[in-house]
Amino acid sequence: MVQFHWRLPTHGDRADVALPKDTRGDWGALRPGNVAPAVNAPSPYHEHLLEIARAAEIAGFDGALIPSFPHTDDPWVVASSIARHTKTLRTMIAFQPPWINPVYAAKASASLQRLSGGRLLFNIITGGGGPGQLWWGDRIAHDDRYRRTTEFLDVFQGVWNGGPFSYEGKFYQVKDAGLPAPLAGQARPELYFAGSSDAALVAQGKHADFNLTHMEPLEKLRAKFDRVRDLASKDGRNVLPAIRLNILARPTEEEAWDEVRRGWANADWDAIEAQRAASRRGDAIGSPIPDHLRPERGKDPKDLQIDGFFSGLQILGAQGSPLGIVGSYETAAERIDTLLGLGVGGLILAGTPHLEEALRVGEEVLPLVRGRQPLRIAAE
Amino acid sequence: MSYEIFWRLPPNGDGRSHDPAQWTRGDFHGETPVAAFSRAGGDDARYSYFDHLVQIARAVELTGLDGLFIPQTDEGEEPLVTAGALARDVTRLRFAPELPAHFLSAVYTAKIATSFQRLSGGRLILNLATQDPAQHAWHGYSWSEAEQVARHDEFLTVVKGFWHDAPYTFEGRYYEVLNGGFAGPLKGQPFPEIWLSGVSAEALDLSARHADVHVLDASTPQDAAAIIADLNRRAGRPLRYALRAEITARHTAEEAQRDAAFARDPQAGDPALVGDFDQVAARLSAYLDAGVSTLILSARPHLEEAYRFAQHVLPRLPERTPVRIAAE
Repeated sequence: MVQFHWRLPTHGDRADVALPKDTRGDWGALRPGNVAPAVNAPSPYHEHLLEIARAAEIAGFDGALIPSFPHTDDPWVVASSIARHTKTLRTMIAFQPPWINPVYAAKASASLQRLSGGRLLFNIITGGGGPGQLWWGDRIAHDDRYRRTTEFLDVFQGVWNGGPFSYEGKFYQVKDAGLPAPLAGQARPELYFAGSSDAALVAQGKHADFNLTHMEPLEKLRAKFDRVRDLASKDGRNVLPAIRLNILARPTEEEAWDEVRRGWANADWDAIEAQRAASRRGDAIGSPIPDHLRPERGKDPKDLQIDGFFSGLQILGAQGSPLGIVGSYETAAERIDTLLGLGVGGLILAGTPHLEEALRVGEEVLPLVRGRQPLRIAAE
Repeated sequence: MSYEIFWRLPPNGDGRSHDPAQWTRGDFHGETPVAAFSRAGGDDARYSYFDHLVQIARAVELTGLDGLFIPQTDEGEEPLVTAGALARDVTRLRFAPELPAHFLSAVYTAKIATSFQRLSGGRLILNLATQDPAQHAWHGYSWSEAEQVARHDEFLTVVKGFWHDAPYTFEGRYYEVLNGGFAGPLKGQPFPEIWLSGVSAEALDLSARHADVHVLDASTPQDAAAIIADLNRRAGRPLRYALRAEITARHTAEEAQRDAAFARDPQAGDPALVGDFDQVAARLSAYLDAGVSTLILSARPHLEEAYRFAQHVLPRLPERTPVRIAAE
């Protein structure tokens, strides 16, 4: 069964998808009436995240991704709180392996499995290297990154069921290690694994359950998924492709595109262009969006579509790929079915504002997705 | 300015539209109800409409409002049970579930109320509903308003006596008690605030005798001011006044008019305030100036709109200081 996850905006949230300055959380400018700070609440933004998590759960999502950026609250902490305030929602911790020793990460994970009834997932990130990586205090040679991730997961897996487990790696060495009795033997958290280079795909073949990629044009996705399957099957394992993408759905096509045009009108184009120029100077991998389909202030957003997916969602504050879903509830469900048709086993959706849109997508769009087992059951 | 803001909790379904046929949150409407939050089978059997109501309650607390008003509806959940279910999920909100006194023993209501005070830290309001005798009710009873008012009068007399004056003995037209009163840990809880409503002379006189707060039916601030002056004169003391209002507040008046173009929410109170954030705030402020100190607001869907109200309208209202809750 395909997993549907929602994203928790630990990085803050817009209160209105089309208004860049209408923010929630203390990452943007705080203004009177914004949810954070709220009166009488000791941790208002965390309360808001819990509200989103519960909404996603009630509206039918299987889990929630808790992203990790330098400026966000830590996903391990957020996950342990959310686990105790939800019943079935799975929490996906975005995590770069080196930050915690794998033996200790196994211990913390086993505790999370025990307190949540086995609802933990990981989004294993290997990290991009360079100055961004050094912010975290991590200087590692580019080519060694996936080897370290593989070793981390070797050790994590090795101690998980109790050991005794010994390992002599380049990065990790343990001798006769293993989780103690009450912690050992929990269900191992499923692993979503980010990264699409050959090194990444070989590494995940050994341990990952899902290969997670940001949304790209369908041709690129098909080619990538073929490689995922080929390389994973060399280890005799089945790694399912998974996609994260942003979604803006409304009752009608026109309402959806009006919302995008409103965002277009309110966007700070000077800042966007400056940021775009700056990112060209970095060594990030090129955008998957062809130049003529990249958003500009003079273009009608409705013209910017690839395979029926809109290529300008970053203008509306979307994190991750600018390519995502815009349209009526029916269109949105069709696009999701298109992705499921590529063999996708997991989707991580996000929409702004995250509370309201979790309810909307869960209530209005997911029930129309043909490739999803129906969760709504009419009263007898 | 000293006032408080309550949000209406919908006990019989919720949705994006004012049209009850579209209230898919909850399984109260439609010939073949398909309830978004009421699923059956497997893990999902654990979710019900109450999970959504808890979400609304938490949002109301998180965004800084003061209480929940839970109306009586024919097909909807029982308000007192709903309040009990939510009371431990929020720490600060007060609860005003509408109670039908005509179905309840006064003594037993006192007992329920004192337990509620204990479990909630004194956050219950005794909010007695008067039903419209013209309405064909599901329960098959029909009382004139005068008879309901007479019963409420005795009901409140007995609840107060039982609470404060043990051993309490009373013999009336509707209720009888011999040596009643609480003992042990149930004794000495704060007596709930009393909210009453109604427009007839009998109802106003009842409020004059018993109410801490009278819930107005006033379509303009001028109407509100007139009723307030009349009732304060009848009572010989200043009461506090609440107003139920349905709001549709948006960034622009055009958006608000468009979104309010659905049918009027059949459960909302008067008035229906439609406009941009400044306009709605100005209308509410006019009621505050007229003497209202409790706003009971509603908008669908109740969760999302609580956020919208708190984010955009609340900061445009006068600075709010807590109201003085009637002691005892």
